Amino acid sequence: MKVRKGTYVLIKTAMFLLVSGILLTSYELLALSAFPILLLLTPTFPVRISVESHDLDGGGYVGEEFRVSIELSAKGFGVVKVMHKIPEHFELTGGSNAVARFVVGSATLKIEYSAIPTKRGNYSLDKLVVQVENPFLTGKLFVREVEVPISIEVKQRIPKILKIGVHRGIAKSPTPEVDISKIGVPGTDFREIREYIAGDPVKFINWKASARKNDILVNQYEVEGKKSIWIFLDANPYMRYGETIRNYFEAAVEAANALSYYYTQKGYRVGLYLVGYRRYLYPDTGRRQFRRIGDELIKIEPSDHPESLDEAIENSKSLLITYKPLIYFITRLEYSRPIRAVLRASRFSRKMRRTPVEVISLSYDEETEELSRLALKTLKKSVESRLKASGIRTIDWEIHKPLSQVLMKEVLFA
Amino acid sequence: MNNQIQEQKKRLRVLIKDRGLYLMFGPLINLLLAEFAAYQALYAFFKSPFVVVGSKYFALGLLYPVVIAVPLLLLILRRNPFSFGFFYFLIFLSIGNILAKSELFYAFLDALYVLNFGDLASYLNSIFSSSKHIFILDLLLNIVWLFVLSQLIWISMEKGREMEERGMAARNLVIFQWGFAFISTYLIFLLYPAIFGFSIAVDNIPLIFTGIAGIAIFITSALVLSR
Repeated sequence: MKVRKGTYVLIKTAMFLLVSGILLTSYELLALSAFPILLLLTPTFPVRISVESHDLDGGGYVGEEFRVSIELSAKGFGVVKVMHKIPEHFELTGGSNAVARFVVGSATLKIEYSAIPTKRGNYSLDKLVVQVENPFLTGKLFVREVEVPISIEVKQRIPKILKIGVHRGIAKSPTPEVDISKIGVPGTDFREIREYIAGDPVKFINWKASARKNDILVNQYEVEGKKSIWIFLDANPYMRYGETIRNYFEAAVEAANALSYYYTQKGYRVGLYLVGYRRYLYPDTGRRQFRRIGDELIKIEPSDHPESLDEAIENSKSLLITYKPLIYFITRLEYSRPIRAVLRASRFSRKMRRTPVEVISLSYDEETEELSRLALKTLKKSVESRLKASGIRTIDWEIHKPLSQVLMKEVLFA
Repeated sequence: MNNQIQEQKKRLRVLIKDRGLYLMFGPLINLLLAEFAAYQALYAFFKSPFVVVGSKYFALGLLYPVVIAVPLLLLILRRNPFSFGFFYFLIFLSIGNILAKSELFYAFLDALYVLNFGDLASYLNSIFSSSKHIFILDLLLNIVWLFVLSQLIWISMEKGREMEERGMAARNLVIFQWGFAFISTYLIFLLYPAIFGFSIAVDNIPLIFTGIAGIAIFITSALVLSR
């Protein structure tokens, strides 16, 4: 147990007087040595804390400010300090998440602050740390936690992609966009209910839903012949590199989010494989699928169990053969060296036609010219050129630049 | 010029409003307490037998400005004006009258006799034994009370500053703590003579009991500090 400063000072004073009193056989000094000790006898009285009200307003996206206000009532005697625990990725922008008050009888404590989340995730802000001590700041320090039901879901803002470039290479139609007729024959797979647009067949009107909403709603079905997108998101430990807020992994998640949003909006089936977790989401369409992918991406962190891209291809082989999708790899080329995996993935199609594969290569432009950095750069370039030689398109994305800008550049280039 | 004044005013407003008045008043209150305690110690000193011995060789009147300047100097150096060192010094100043009643001191005089310093021993004995009746407990109690109060004020001020630096809203907390510290120490100060019955203690309790009590407190304190 650490002796608190107040206790230390009082004991030191008492000891000085006591020792001097004993040495000098002085009654006065001996009697006075009890003065500080009497103050030490002051106990820490219990203080009861209860949450009266709480409120969380705003937030929801990375970089969007939110406000928290909590009102507490305290009953007892002593110095009360209350701190609302916030995660390390939150940045206080106003007010204070901790409050201290001298409580005599009863008092109301109010915590009001605003903060900005700097990283996506589901955060639970349900802990209030309460410290109670006596007014002399001596004696025992009572620390306990009080629950307050506050939580916040922080999503990443999805960068709006206007267009993804059509790559004309060995494959006949590598990007599914060109394969799809938006007015194709609707199949029997139900996709979603949407508002009626002039020209929709009357037979698709969902009468029950329309009656409930007092608006004309139609059922939308999957269009036949639709292609699929399969995103391999590299969540291996090497993706952790970078700043806490902006690192390779955060950029990879952003890219996965943006691609899945872009393609689900356009009506494609989108599937996701999390490399490092050996887990995937079956390809599906619509907003529901985007939400599912978003939910998965919101809580994911780099894995501690490495998995090669080759293994990932092997694990999802059957699905790749079935769907023959456009495959996106989002990775760091210098670490994952995905040549074998990419070539394997591109051969799941029929003879003479290759499954379209694209690699989004993440890079982080640092000004340092260390030897290791140069070595990695060289390695990356070598992998890139080998991929290019194999007819695989590689999109180099410097993670501090906007993704849409990079993809648009590709469109212009194409 | 006007801008400078405005800026000064703004700074002062920020200091008062944002950083708390206590940061300004804490050291000043401690300075006052230290000065008052210094005055008490000097008063005790000038009643002690040291004056008889010292006045032969030194101009003891100079001690007043010197002692009173120490807390000011500490304040200028941004340290606690009533530090432990200064407290030890004040107790040392008041020690003359304590020595006059100390068994240890008379044992020391006996030793001087044995070591053939009989003249010096009898000279000291004549000076000190005449001060046996001087009672300085009230002055010592003042010094101890003021010191303990100043320490409590200083600790709560430092804690308040630490809390503000960590971004904790602690408005008026320190002022309340000071008020509570003052009331409780003042109550103890008032009741102290009644609780400990000094006159009885001084005259009637055999030395052995105080010794035992002292050792018991010493061991308890050592145990508490070692944990």
